[in-house]
Amino acid sequence: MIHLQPTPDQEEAAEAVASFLQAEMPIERLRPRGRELPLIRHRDQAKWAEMGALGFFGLGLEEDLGGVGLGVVEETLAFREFGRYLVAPRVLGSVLGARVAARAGRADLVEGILAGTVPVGLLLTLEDEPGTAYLVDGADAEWALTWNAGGAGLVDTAKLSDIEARESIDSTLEFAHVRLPASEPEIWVTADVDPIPRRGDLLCAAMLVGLSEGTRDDSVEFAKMRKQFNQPIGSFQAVKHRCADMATRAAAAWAQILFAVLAEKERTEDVVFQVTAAKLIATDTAIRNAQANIQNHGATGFTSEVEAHHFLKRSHLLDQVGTNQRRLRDRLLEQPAPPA
Amino acid sequence: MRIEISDEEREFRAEARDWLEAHVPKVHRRAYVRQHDTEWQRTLYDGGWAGINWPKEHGGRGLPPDQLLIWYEECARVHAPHWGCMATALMHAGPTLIVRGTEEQRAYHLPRILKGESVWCQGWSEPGAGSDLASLTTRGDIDGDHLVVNGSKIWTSSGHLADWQELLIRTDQNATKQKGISWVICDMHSPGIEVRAIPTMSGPFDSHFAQVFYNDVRIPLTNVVGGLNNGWDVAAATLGFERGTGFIPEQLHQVEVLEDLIKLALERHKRSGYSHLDEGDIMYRLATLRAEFAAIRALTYQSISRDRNGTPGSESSMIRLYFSETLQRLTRVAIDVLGPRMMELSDDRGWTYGYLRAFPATIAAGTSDIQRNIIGERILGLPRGPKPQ
Ligand SMILES: Cc1cc2nc3c(=O)[nH]c(=O)nc-3n(C[C@H](O)[C@H](O)[C@H](O)COP(=O)(O)OP(=O)(O)OC[C@H]3O[C@@H](n4cnc5c(N)ncnc54)[C@H](O)[C@@H]3O)c2cc1C
Repeated sequence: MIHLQPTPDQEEAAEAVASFLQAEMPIERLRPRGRELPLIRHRDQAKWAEMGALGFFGLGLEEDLGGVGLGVVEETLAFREFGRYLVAPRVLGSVLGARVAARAGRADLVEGILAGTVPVGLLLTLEDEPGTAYLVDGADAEWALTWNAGGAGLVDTAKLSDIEARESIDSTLEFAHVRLPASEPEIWVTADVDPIPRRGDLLCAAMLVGLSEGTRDDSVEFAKMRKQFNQPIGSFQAVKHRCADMATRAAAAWAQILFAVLAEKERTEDVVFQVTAAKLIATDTAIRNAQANIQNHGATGFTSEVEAHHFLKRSHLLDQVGTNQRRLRDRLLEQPAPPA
Repeated sequence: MRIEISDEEREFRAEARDWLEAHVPKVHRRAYVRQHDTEWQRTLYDGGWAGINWPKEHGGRGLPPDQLLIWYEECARVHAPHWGCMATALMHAGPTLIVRGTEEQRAYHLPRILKGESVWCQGWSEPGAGSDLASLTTRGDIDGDHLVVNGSKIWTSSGHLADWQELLIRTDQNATKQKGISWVICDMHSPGIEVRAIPTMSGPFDSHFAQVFYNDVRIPLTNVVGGLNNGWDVAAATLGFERGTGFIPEQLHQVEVLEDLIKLALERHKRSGYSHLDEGDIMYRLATLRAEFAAIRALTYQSISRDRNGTPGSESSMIRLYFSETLQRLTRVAIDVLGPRMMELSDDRGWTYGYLRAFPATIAAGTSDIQRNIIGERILGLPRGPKPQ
């Protein structure tokens, strides 16, 4: 029998993460303050060491390697919360970076990364300009995480060159165009040693579902409160049905993530299929829900004074981190149909 | 049903093409920068192309819709500048004054609009009155020969750049919703007006619209257009101009954008390493878009043919709905073609900017939900839901 409901024990860590985020990093932190322009880069950095001290970056890492010693289930549940609260994407750098360092035998690095005192940025390689990448949230980072189908690694940011700050559509990000070192990353773990790339896609997918649920809740709340024609706009079927679709898509995506995380935990033979399906559906859901949420807000949704646009831009970023939708589609059709 | 291109039309097209090729700025200039938009309007004026569909007696060229369409097509072909912040003046306020304004109002405002000397904005929506425009509460109380205005308008495009505003206010508190409204000309430099630019999601420095606050703003009663408490009817006339030919330049422009995107997709395909299956998806979407934009053009021709002797009907809601949703699909393909590059906001002509800027297409000028309501009720005769504007 397949049991697709996390146990209270498994949910405990995510609940701790959620209550911390709700108290310390509410979504409204990303609103422009007063007359300040909505350039709000890097507001989360101040909380990083605190998150590290609470063990948030090592939930799924074995205890003897410095982690909390829980599993992939707990870690995935936590990432759903990171998504819901729009936590800076470098959380992927910290969590996966610690895993890479640990597997590569760099205990010296693991401790700092887990503590949140050695920040890890993200690299998005540009296939149309070989040898270059975007460095995301990496201005103060000593290391940057990169992964592809073959494995995952950490690049020493001192070895990046031609660093040029660029403007990103996601104004919460530090964003730069960089040239990668000619040599392979000094720290690299191949996927057969530990399938970190797949775990990365899974954690991204969980964050994307968190985003989808965030936009669902934002829309539902707004539709109950905003009145036109003397009634809450949620009473109009156009709006009500859009909210219902958002909820349904998010529910389907979350169920698939749980199925994928189970496949990952048990290393079933269809794990690649399940994780690929999970990220594909989660990305699609996050983007569509973010679009619907903007529409539900009317003109307010087009401003940068509410969070609707952050959800959209973060969804697009997470599409591009790890395996993007286009590659996921290819991969999914290459896989054999899952066993009954 | 015939294609009949007269010599006059052929000559007109050639004349427009020659003039545009000689005068369109060689480097792209950002729209919604006041100086850029007004300078282009002045260039049009000096060349005899300002207000080409306005009647001759009001400073225009008096051309029929067919030639207006030819003009727009030629503008799109050479990427001529858009109206930008001149849009409300040219497409809304000017035409409204022509049909409903007084002699004095026309004599003062129309030449200034045509010469690019005055920028207008549209003050209709309020924080509490969006889709339900008739519920607006900004009020004007008569005091001698003035109206004293208090309240707030929001989402006012170019409100922070404008000199004048077409302002809808409630001037009779006791009349039913639509009956107590007036359409007035508001001087944006009046004492008591405060404007707050609102940042948008299309870029941290992209303030397309503003909120306007009115604190005992005095407006002469001579600035009322079309009669006191008759504003709802005047506003319907204003919207008629927008719904008629107002969106054609944007539609034609997007056809050019689509063709650019097809080139970009083909070029990137050579080095992307994506599978045929995946390329097939992009191709499928681009081909469908080509057909859809062809249909938009056909719908436009059809509505111009139909309206040659009258004002546009509610089928303009269909064009608006179809166009805005097609546009959003177009900009979305661009995002998928770009990959991680889409995260960079490079310049205001970039694909990413275009994607973000397409979101309001289904919100502004009546949301797509409201357009569907109008199509369902006014065209299909389905039972009415809550009363749309
Ligand atoms: C870029 C931009 C420029 C604009 N420029 C101007 C301008 O220059 N001047 C001006 O006056 N206004 C302007 N507007 C405002 C525009 O007219 C309003 O945004 C629009 O009328 C919707 O109102 P709202 O934003 O208050 O949304 P709401 O009316 O609050 O709508 C919220 C949601 O509810 C839905 N909804 C509401 N009523 C119904 C219903 N009866 N049935 C089904 N669904 C419904 C809407 O579709 C939407 O999804 C602009 C808006 C934008 C985005």
